[in-house]
Amino acid sequence: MTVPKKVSEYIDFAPPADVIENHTGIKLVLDIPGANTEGLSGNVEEGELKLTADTNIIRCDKNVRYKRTFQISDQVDVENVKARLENGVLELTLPKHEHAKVHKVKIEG
Amino acid sequence: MLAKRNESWGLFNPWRTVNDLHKEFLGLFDDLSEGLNRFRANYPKVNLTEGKKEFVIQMALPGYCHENVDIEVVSNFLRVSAERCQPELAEGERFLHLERSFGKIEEAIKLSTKIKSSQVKAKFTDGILTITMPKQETEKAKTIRITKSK
Repeated sequence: MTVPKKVSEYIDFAPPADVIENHTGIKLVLDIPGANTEGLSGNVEEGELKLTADTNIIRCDKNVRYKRTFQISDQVDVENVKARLENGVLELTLPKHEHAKVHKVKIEG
Repeated sequence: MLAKRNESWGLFNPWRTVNDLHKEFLGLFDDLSEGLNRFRANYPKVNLTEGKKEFVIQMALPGYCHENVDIEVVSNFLRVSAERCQPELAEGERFLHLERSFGKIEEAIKLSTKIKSSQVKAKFTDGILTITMPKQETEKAKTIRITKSK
């Protein structure tokens, strides 16, 4: 049995991502098998969303690490980004700022 | 003044189409295609390790339900098939980018020795399927003495 062990070195993989848009914002869905919430980190800096997820999977004597960067428009409400990790799939919800949402105006008459 | 205000309040400019707005909002993903050329989005699919007494195989199956994963062991063959369906979009949602794959996958692996199929164990955590397969003890070589014929 391979005992999951922490190795100081990492091998980076860029996980596949789906991007879904709806009226309220953007949804990012990434496949990051083997990652759990402890090893997951994300931050927004200078309009870039950087995601990193450590795993215990060993590849070429190194720990597999997922890394991906997305450019974000300033219309995204960075303060209210939500993340959910389930079964190796990370789902990020990036809401639009209230002022960036499309409001439909009904014409009376 | 009004024009200026309209410009900074982009949304209220009646001449802009929704498509333009989308494009701007999705400056977000302009770099994605460029990024894709730099790397292929992926992750390791299968890890197989052989110990003295057992084989351990790890398969990446993110987003798969264990109900949709089938494992078959015969002699020294292992076959894993799994299926995940593309989630349906809710009303008003649309895909801007699609990299993840959906559908059925099948992996068949021939192992170097026979395995005890009744003792194979499988667990599924964080989207990783781990199957532990104990090896069958190989028959020891028998020494056969030749009796002298009288």
